[in-house]
Amino acid sequence: MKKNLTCLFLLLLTLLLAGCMKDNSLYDFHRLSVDKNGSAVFIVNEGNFMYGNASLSYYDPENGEVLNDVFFKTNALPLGDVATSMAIRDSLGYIVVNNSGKIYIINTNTFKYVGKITGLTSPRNIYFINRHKAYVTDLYAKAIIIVDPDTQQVTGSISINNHNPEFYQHSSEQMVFFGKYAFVNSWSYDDQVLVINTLTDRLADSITVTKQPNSMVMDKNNKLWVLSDGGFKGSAYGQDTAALTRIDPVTRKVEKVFRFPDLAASPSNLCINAAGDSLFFLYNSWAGGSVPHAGVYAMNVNATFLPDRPLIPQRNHLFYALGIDPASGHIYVSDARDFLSRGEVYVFSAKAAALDSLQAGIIPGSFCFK
Amino acid sequence: MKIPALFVGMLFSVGLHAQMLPDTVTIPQVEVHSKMNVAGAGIEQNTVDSLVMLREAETSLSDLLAAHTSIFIKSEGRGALATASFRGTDASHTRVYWNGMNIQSPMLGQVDFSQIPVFLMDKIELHPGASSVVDGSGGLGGSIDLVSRPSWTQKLQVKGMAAFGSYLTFNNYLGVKTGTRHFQTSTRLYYNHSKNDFPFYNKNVANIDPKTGKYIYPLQRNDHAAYLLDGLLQEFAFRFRKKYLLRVNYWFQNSKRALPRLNTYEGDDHANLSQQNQQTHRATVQLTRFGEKGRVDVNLGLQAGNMIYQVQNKIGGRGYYDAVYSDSKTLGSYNKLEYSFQWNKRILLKASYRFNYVHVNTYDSVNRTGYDQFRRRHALVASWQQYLGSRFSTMVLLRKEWINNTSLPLIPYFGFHWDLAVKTKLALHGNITRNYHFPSLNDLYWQPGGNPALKPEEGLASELGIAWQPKMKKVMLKTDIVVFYNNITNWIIWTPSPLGYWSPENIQHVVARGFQLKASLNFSICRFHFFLKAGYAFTKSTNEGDAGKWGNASVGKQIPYMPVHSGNFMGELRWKGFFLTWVNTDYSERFTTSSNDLTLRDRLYPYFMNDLYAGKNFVLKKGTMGLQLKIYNLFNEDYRSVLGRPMPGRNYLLMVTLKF
Repeated sequence: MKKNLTCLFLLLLTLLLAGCMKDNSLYDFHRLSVDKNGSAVFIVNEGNFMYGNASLSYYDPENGEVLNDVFFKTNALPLGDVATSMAIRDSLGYIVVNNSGKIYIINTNTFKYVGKITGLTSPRNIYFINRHKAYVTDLYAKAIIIVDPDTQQVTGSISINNHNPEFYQHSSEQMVFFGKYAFVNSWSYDDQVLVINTLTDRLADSITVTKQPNSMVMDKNNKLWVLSDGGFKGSAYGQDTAALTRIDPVTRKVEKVFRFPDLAASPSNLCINAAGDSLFFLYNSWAGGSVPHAGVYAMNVNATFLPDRPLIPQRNHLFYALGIDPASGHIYVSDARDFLSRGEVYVFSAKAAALDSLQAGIIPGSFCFK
Repeated sequence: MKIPALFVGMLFSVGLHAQMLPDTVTIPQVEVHSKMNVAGAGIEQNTVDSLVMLREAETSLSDLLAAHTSIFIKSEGRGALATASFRGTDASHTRVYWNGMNIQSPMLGQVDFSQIPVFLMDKIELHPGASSVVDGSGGLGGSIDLVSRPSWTQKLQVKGMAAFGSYLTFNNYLGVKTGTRHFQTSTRLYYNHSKNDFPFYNKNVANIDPKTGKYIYPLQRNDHAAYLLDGLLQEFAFRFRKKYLLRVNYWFQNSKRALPRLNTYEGDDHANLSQQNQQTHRATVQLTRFGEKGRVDVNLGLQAGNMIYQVQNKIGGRGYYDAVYSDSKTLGSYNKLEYSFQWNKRILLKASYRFNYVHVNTYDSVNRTGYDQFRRRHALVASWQQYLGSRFSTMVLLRKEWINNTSLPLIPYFGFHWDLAVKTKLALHGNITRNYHFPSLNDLYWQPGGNPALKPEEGLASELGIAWQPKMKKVMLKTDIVVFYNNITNWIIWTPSPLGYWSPENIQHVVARGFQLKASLNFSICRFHFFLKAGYAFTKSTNEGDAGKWGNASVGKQIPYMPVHSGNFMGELRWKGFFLTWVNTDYSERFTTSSNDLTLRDRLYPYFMNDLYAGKNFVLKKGTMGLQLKIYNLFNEDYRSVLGRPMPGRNYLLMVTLKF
């Protein structure tokens, strides 16, 4: 009898545990309701690939206020898988979610989801040409996608397929505008900066640079700077030393190539201050290597050689993303830590004085200044 | 030849799990001899119950292990990749052997358990923690022994199973065996496929109603998730000259499956299309010679595989382009020569030499990356089992390995078994070992990012347990409680970079400790037969790494995806050929971040899954017929198992089994 009672107890206990999973309840919570005017910094947290845990953090440098995961908390929707960048047009923020093939549109004051552009392949960044036209760069589409930000529809594309049977080319990453032309770097297994005529939406020209150009800026002298990481060891595409290349956008000629002597170096995240006179980049090594003196580097646009010491040494951090606030000139640099927990963001003055630090989301990957 | 009674007792004690049902195989004399090879003092051998094997015969090993054992299965969804972790360790720390041959992918260092049909296995044995060293090195978490070894028969026996389930799921199996006193042949064929397109409301995406401003959640299907799994297992066994037993097994499997996108995906429907095709050939030859005082085992194993992983995007006006086309060929040869010697009634000695060779050639023809590498592993193993008195036995095992030209430190094992009370079968057992897990070939050579400078992961595993099987009239009760402690350093983890490269490093230190309880009860009331089985595990597996690197928030925290509490329950009632089986699987909340942050967005709340099976076995003129209905997700719950993956609601499977 005792045993039967024991069995009955076990059965009842298990029944109690039954029917407890209510996924829907996770979406029913008191949502964040704010109206944040004024300047601020959005931190786009990539999240882990194939986890769908990208997020958006908000930071007000005036009072140090940090709001994490604002997209989900406001909208009860996850941002998606691998959010790569954000751009602001008027009061709207466009968050590019790479591995979800879409761009979410939010109100930058309330963080409310107001629309989305879907049906993309592997979007990386969005750039606004005019009220009814924006370009979306893409890693795998072999095209630059044209969208109408107002109707939130894809309206066309600019083919950048070079039909190279050896490598998947061209990808498109960042854009820098000069006159009616957009300069686009093709990073993945490539060495091209493509030139797009924004009036005709056609590929107009291309400029060969060093291997794997990952980021670009335009300086005060109207010179285009391109940072290449050189690829990786053992790549069939070949590995080259990383380099910083200066290009005249008028003649589309390479004027100067600054080579990084260490083959293991993989510099990335080229940025420029609002004055357009100082370049900043992350100097590190990826794909299994290491370099001495890793960190945030600064370089005057008129310098004749690369800096050999960091402005902000990496020390025991692992710097992942870099941004320069165009208003204050402050340097924002992220540390992804172990890539499985919330990353840190450190704020420095233009002269590298530590100002603040905050905890953002998982893998803080880019900054957008409001 | 006489085998000491104690040894027989000890050896049979591990086989008891398999002898609870009337349809359990009978063990001929020659099998008793072979048992000497398996057991060792302190070695914990958890054999999956034969009733469980019977009920789950048409499922995959991942489903069986998840529902009926303390092993944690991380599944990416229905029919998708499923990996197994023992006691708070990583999936790469679980070694899997089929008829003694390691079937890990030498490239990935792990096994996809969703690709192993239970129907092919006659015995599944779990060796957690230190117990895995009897099989081989590298099982810092444990090892799983899969055995295809049908019983000897002199009749023609045919078994067929046809199952039809929700989402156009078909699981078909056919087994034929026959033989003589000296020869056996067994053929098993299977053909499983599913469209796997279950419907679900996707609350991870929403459209805004232009009139009301409210969200409209789409009703979607689990697209691009179809799978096919078919194959053949052929076995031959020969007994000759009364001293020899030769077994030859060959297993071919073909697998093809689409890999679905996350439920946050709203991109081009013709983009990001992934699929994986895999063909695997496995063969083992096992020759045993039984002598007066010992036996010799010669095992040869061969595994050859070819896997194609493809990602496609449709480019406007140009059709589909491969963004990834990775063709990976693996070849492995696994060989063992072992001599077991019964010195006297109290001492059993074993010595073996093992030689493994694996070769991987992987190449992505789109990015033109890949590697072509091999690994040779030599191992010398010696063990000494000693009885001290009539109730206490110990074993010392030493394993020395060389990988290519690198000598690994000695792997020592010590275990004991103490029968505290013979009548009530109360026994204390324990073990401790040091173990090493060598990085997989992908860890070392993957392009880009492979790190040839990686060091082996080093583990210290120990456990102490007490088992009790009291003798009661008409009731069979078995209980076991085990306390364990694992300490793993140089844990390998892959991390990404801003440029999209991933690279592994030895940066984590993990301590996993906890305890496991399990109990099973068999009894009858009138003509009702009850079988109850329950297990519970408490696993605290924490990151004890460098706070400078990991940040204070992650140190001391539970490693991602590992539940602290897990439990399972199975209850079956049988009456006049009818049966009703309830299977319940539970996990506590799991974390997806190393800092164990709790957010609603990423919450993997406690998991309680209930399945119900009902059926009837009919006795025919010749043979039997079984009819079984399975109801999965009995309470039709909306739930998540991992992030971003939909899971099916209540679904059904109807199965007919014919046996003659």
